[in-house]
Amino acid sequence: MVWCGLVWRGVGWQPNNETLKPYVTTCLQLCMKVLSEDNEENALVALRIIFDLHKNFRPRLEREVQPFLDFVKSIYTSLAATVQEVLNQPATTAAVQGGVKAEPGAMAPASGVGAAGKTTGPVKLLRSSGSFKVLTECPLITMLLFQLYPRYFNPNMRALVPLMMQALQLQAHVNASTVVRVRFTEFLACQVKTLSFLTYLLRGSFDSMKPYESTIADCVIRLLRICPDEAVSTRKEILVATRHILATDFRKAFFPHVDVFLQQSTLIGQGRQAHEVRVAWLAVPCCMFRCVGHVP
Amino acid sequence: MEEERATRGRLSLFVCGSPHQLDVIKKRVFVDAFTMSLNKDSSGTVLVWGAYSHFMAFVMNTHSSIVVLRARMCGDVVQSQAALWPAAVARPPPRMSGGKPPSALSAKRRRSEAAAASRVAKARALRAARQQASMGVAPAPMAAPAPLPSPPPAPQNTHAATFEAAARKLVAEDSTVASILQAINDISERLEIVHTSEYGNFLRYLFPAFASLLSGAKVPPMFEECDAHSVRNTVLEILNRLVRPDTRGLPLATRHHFAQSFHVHRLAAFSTRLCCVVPSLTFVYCPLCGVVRLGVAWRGMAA
Repeated sequence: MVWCGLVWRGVGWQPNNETLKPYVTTCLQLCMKVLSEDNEENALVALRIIFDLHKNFRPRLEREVQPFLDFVKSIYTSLAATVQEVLNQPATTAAVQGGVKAEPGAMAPASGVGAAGKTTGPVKLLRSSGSFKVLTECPLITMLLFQLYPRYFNPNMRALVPLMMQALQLQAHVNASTVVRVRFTEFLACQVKTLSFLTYLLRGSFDSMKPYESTIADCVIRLLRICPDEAVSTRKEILVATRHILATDFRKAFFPHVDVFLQQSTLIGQGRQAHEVRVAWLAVPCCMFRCVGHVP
Repeated sequence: MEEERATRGRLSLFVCGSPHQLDVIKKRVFVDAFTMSLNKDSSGTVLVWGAYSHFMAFVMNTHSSIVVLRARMCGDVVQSQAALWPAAVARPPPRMSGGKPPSALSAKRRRSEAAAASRVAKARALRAARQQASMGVAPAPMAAPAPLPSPPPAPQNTHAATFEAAARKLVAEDSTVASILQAINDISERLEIVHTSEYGNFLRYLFPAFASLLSGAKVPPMFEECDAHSVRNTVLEILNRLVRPDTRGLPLATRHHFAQSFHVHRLAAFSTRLCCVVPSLTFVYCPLCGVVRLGVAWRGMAA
């Protein structure tokens, strides 16, 4: 066991490559171009490259920080329209789409005959600006950039926090969880990642987050309620974020929701997988019970 | 047997050697060191030992000339020690140890034996010359030496020419998307070359071509599965492998093995998968360090 851990760490560590340094800026600019113009699949690879470049070549890439943050702002700004377009469409339209491609965002054959016997064309790829997966990755990189370049934190947070709160409050159509389930789950994962990012902000900028106290609590409860049973990792992330929130003064906003929150169906869902890992989630109810002691 | 376990897997050998050695090794740039150690054929063998991360490989051919390679495990980097090459292949060292393989001797002993052999040969030649001079016969020209192995590769870089040709193929105006895809797949399959000293040339020639592909109009962004999308995706994957130092060059099997072991031993038990695309960014809790850090999750590493 120790052997494996040491070998993993030994193999995993290598010094940054000096040979690549002259090309780093161009590479990052290319990836930013891909991120803003290309499809979802390529944008996700570009995001990984951007993350690694910022992580490994920190001092010389500061100029490229603001363009990335601007992209994040733009994608959050257009999120409401994306949700309206993708998730809030009538059930009939979605059903037609689902008949051809099984479901938007789902894996489908590149060409040939579909499950229903219909001839399918090439698989359509989403635009990066309309992809929930791309948006899911953005908060993590934003957090990294704020850690690496703290001077970008204050000016950008004033614009980002309201946009993120709006994104957190967006709701999909009632039928979305059944008609376009994959996309709905992706949208939920993106909201949960946004919640995690806001939780991270609670530590550093408590006062600026104070106006959103009750909104965050409402959103947490709503996310727990609508989270699909099979999305165990998403639910786990909600609970981790909740635990962090309950460790701050924001716990007061959860007092009206204690009864709902402690219901088993809300907390760990109805799925079989959720029940199998429920032992790991006992920390959150414990925190909640501690909060109950503070209820006036 | 511990060493054999440690060196199991795919090893990239970049060999600088004589034609005999190259016949054996250079035909395939990527050979399996472990397999070669088992195949004791007439052409040579590989003896491998060392630590987990580094080991030395001595390759012997039928002429007993030795090429010393310094290799890193897991196919990362193999640096040929060109300085050792001329002495090793200039002349097959005389066997003065009763047929004992030279690799079994210590370096000091090998050096002393080679020096002794050299002294003996010089003395014999001098004695023969004196004898011929005393008999009044003009010294005959020395017998033609046995054909020596070809000299080491000239300083001119053949890889640079290869890179240049590949780059020209990528950006040529008359090349089709299919031919570009073929070329880019070839580059992707041979990407281990970036772990050698050719990395600089690789970037110098091919990076502008990659940039041209990603930003040019020849292969524009596509929103359906097609060759143009595959080209852009492959270029991005190559760039992704270049910029990530922590996983660069790890062969898939080894990476999978370590990932599985890592998971089994609960070092990644708290990792949270952020999306279904792998590799994906994750929060990883490391009990050894006691910190939560950003990490990368790979396929097969359950959340």
